[in-house]
Amino acid sequence: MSAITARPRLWPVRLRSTPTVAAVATVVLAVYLVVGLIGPLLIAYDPVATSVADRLLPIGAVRSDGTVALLGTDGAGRDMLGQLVYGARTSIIIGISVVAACLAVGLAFGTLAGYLAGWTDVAISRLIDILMAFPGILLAIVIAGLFDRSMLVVVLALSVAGWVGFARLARGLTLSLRERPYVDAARLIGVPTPVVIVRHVVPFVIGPVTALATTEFAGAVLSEAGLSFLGLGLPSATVSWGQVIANGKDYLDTAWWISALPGLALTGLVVSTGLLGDHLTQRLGTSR
Amino acid sequence: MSASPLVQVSDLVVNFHTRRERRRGSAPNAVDGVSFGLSADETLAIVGESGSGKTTVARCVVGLQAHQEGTVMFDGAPVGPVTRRSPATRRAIQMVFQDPAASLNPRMTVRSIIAETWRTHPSAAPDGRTWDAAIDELLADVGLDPDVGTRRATALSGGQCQRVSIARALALRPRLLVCDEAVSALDVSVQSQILRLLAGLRAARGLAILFITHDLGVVRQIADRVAVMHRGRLVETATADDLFERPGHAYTRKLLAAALDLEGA
Ligand SMILES: Nc1ncnc2c1ncn2[C@@H]1O[C@H](COP(=O)(O)OP(=O)(O)OP(=O)(O)O)[C@@H](O)[C@H]1O
Ligand SMILES: [Mg+2]
Repeated sequence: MSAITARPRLWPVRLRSTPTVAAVATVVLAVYLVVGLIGPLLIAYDPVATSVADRLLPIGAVRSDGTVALLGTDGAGRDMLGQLVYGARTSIIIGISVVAACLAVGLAFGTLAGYLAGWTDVAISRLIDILMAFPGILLAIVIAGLFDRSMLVVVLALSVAGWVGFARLARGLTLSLRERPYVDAARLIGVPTPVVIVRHVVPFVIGPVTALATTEFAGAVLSEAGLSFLGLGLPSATVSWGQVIANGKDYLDTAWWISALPGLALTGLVVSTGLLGDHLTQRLGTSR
Repeated sequence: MSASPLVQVSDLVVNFHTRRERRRGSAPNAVDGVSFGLSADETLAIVGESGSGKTTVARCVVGLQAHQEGTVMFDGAPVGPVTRRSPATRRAIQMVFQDPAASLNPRMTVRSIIAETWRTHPSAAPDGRTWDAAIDELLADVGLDPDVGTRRATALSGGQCQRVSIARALALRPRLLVCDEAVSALDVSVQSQILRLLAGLRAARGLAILFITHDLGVVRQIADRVAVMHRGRLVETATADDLFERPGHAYTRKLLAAALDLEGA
């Protein structure tokens, strides 16, 4: 891979993606998954219940009812640990939903455009060009702003432009795959086009596309946090790290932990996903 | 030759011009007015140097390549691109490609590759015995052990891949087999095995073969007639014996001389 193929990176520092780095990233991701999926079953947390007596407790302080606030409380007296754990679940659900939707749409459009060529390709490629002309996050902000806040709207808003990357990758790979003799052989035999695509093209597109999915997951998690930070994301009954960070921004001097902890959690998730994505891209992305 | 050939190609013209080249009208055609006939159970070789348009002609015949002018007739009726052909015509024309490994989907077993042809053409599927038995028989016909059936292309040698390709084509019991440099990627001993296999199959099944190659030694082994292609045109068509004894066209003589040089070297 050369510098020419540089794509936008989610973090400024270049961390070389060695197998060790990838292994560490995988372990970190596994921890996030366990915390996000099992944590909410173990910890009770009610985002609406506030407690004036327990406002702005620092890390490890004792609450008025005698329990320990391990990671402190926020400006409304809500438990920080609970918010981090429930926020992890939200991020994971959003990330997976967005990536699944984008992957399905992008794979379908990309392989169709690449395989059928002609007008189908022109139409899909123009649509991709148009969507690429807008910054994705701007498009997401507009769409999220138009509708009531809900999980579905956030997933849709982030998917509208998110599938484009998958489609471009799938199209490019398909363009070269369709020239393979075994694809010609299938066409000669008369295998129906959808079957040719599914059996002789898609299996060879899946690897690189999966690598991209990892990177896109990081982007989706970050964008959701951004939307929620702006108050355009999830309804306030759903915990989102972006919202928690926004809640803490008035207390940066006095209660740093409210913004810093979810910020750290977000960074850890995004960076380790990105590192794993880089590794997978190196492993699967160039294999044909 | 019989009165009406199985394949009749007339005045075929193909170009890959870009829009600018088309406006200027300067670039040559890849195939420029090619005509030939091929009767049932005949083997016609098309020879010529690299870039002379052999593959393009072959792809037009099987319907993988569109042509700008001319007609391709099969069995007395014009045939278009492969997607618009009738299932019977598609079944009747099969092709073996140059690159043995790339001709087989690396994720599929040999068995499923062959079964795919019967799933697409149930009329060609074996009746009275299981598909597995029929596949074993087909593999034996092309000189492969039954245990090859469970392997994938990545676990086969070039010669084995090419035999599987031939088996896949034969599974549909075609009437015309188009071989585009089908032995060029194989070493000499495997080459002659495959050529003998094709000659045997042709005798046993009454198969017409359009055999594309740049190797005159191969031509001598397999062809009844030879068409010599040069820069998109057919410069000479002759029986194989005549061509080697009494080459008519200057380009053919050059080709033969070059081949002799190679043999002598
Ligand atoms: N898909 C294509 N796009 C553009 N030009 C092509 C295409 N296929 C073939 N050509 C051109 O058409 C001409 C004939 O090519 P063709 O592949 O038919 O030659 P060939 O005789 O089979 O050569 P070889 O022996 O190297 O296989 C060449 O000049 C080639 O560059
Ligand atoms: Mg060729």
